[in-house]
Amino acid sequence: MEMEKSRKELTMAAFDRFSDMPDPIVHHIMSFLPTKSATRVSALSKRFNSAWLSYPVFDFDEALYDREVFPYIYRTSGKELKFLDFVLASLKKHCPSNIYMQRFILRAWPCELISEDQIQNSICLAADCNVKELIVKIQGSQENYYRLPRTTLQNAKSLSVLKLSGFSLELEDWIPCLNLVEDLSLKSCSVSANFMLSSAKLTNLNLRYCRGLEKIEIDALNLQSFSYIQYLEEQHPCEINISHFKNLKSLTIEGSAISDDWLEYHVPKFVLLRNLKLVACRNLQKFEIVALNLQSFSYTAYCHKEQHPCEINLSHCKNLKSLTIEKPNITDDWVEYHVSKLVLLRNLKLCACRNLQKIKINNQQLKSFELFGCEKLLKAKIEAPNLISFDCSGYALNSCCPKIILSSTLAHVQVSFVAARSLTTNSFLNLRDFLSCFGHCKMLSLSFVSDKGLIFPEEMRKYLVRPLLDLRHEGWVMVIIKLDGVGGRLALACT
Amino acid sequence: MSSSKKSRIVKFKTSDDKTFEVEEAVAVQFETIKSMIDYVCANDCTIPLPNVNAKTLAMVVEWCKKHADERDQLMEVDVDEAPGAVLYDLLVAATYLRVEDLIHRVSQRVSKMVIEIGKLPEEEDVRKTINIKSDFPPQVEEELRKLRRTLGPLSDVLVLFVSSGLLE
Repeated sequence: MEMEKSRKELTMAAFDRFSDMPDPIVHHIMSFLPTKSATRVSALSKRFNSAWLSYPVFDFDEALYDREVFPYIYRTSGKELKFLDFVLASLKKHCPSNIYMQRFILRAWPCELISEDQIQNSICLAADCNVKELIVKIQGSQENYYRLPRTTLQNAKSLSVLKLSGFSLELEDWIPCLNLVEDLSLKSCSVSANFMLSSAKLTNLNLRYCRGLEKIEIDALNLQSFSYIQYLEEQHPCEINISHFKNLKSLTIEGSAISDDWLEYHVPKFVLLRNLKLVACRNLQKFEIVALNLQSFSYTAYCHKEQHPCEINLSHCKNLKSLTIEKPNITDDWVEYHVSKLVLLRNLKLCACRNLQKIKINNQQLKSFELFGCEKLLKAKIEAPNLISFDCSGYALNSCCPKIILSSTLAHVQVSFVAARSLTTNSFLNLRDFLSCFGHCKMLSLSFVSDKGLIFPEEMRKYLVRPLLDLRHEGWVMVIIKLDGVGGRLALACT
Repeated sequence: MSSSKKSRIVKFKTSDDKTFEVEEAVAVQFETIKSMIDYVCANDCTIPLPNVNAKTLAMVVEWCKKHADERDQLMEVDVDEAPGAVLYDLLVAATYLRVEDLIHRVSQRVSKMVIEIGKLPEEEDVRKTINIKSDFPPQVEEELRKLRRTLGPLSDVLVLFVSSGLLE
C-alpha cells in the first residue's frame, strides 16, 4: 500500500515536467483528452493556459453552454447571448485565419428554428482555417434539415474527418471535397438519392438514418469499417453496391432490404472481415455466412407480427469468438449444432428466441453465456466447463422459470427478474426450484424489481428445504441481492 | 531479406556515458538518424545523445524491435507501471529521435494520467498534487475566489472562461 502510494506521488510529481515540453507535444497529449479535462488543465497555470489557447481544437456544446457559460455572461454583463452568436464571436476572436485548426466540434440542440446562415458562417470560418476534423451535430426537436452547400467547405483542403448530422446535402456536389476524407459519417441527414464515391483514402464510412438515399455505390480500397442504417420511414429500398472492399473488417447493416443472395455474394469477398452485424433486414430468410476470419457475428431478426422464417448457416465461420442472436426463429437443434461446431466460441448471447424449448450447449471454450427472455424455454443444459459468466434475465417470478443444468463450477451467475403482478405460493416454489440450479456456482447475483419476491411467507419456510445451502459442495457461495425498488444492496455470504 | 545483407551496427553514446550498439533495422526507425546511417557506419562514428539516458534508450530500442502488433502489449506492461518520470524521459527520447508511433503512444498514456488527475474537485488540490504553483495574476485568482463564494464549486468550463478571458 505504502509502495503504491509513493509510486502514485512520483507519477504526479513528475507531471510538472511535462509543461516544459514544446507546444506540439503538449497539444498532442491534449488531443487525447476530452474537452472538459483539457479545459481543466488549462486553468492550472499560465503555461497550460497558453498551450490551451494555441491549441487548435474548438469544441462548442450547446448543453454545456446553457448550463455554465450563459448564466455567467448574463451575470457579468446582463446580456442574453445566444449560443450561435457566442460561437461566432469566439471563432472570430480566437481564430486568426493563419491558424491550422485541428478539430471543430459544434453540437446544438435547438428548440426553435435557428439561423441557417449562422451555422454556415461558423462552418465557413472553420474551413478557412483549414480544419482537419469537422464534426457538426444539430439535433432539433422537429425534423428540420439545415442546408449546407458545398461552397461552405471549399477552403478546407485537408479535411480528414467529416461527421455531420441534421443537414440537407446535395451529395453529388460534395464528391470533390471528400478526396482526402478518411472518416465520413452522415447521420439523420436528408441527402440526394444517389451516393457514389470512389476514394482510396476512406477507412470509415457511416450512413445512418439518412433520408432519401436510394442507391449507394462505393469503391474504396482501404475501407475498414462500413455501417448503414436505413431511415426508419424510408419508402424506397436502398440499393447497396460495394466493390473492392478487400480490407473491410467491420460491416453493419440495419433495416435494409438486402437479400440472401446479396449477402452470400458479398461476404466471401471481404476476406478480412472480423465483425458482422445484421439488424432487422426484412428480406433475409435463409443464408450462409462464409467468412473465415469472422470473429464476431450479431444477428437481430426483423420483427413482425407473424414469425419471420430464418435459417442461418454459420458452419464455415471457424474463427467465430462471439455470437449474438436476437429474436430469430432458430430451433433447439440449430443452437446445439452450431455451438458445438464453433470450437473457438467464447461469448454467446441468445435474446428473445421464442422457439427455443430445450437447448443443449456443449462447448469447451465458452466463457460467457447470456440468456435473455427466451420465454418458452423449459430446460437448458450447459456443458461448458470453462464458463465464468452466466446471465439469465427477463423471467417473471410467477411464470415458469426454465430448468438449468450448469456444469461449470467457476461461473458467476447473474439472474434478473422482471416485475410480477401478483405472487402466489407457486411463484415461491418456482423461485426456490430455480435457485437450486445454482448451488454449486462460485457466485450468484440476483436482481429483483421489488423486495416482495424475496420474503418467503412464514408457513412456507417451515416445510421448504433451503435452495442453496444443501446443494453447495465446497468453498464459498456468494449471493448478492440487488433490490431495484428499495435501492438497497445486500450481500450474503453462505459458507 | 536481412540475411542476404549483413546487418550493420549503429553506435550511440547516451547522456550517462554508456555506449549502445543498435542494429540497423532498429536505427532506421529513428527518423532523426535515418539519413546519416550510411555515413556513420562507413566512418565508424558514435552518435551522441545528450538528452537520452541508457535506461530510456534501452526501452526505445525494445519498443522498436517489437512487431507493431506486440507493441501495445509491451506498453501495457511497462508504461502502466512506469511513473511519470519514465514517461517523460520516453517522450523526450521519442521526440528527439522522432519515433512517431512511440510519441503517439506515450502521449496517449500521459493523457490518461491527466484525466486521472483532473478528477480532483478543486484546482488548488490538482496544483498541489502535480507540484505546480498558480502564476495567474492576483486579479484572476480574486475573481475566481469571488465566483466560488457566490456560485459554490465552479465548473471547469467556467474556470477556463474566467482565466483565459482575463488574461488577454
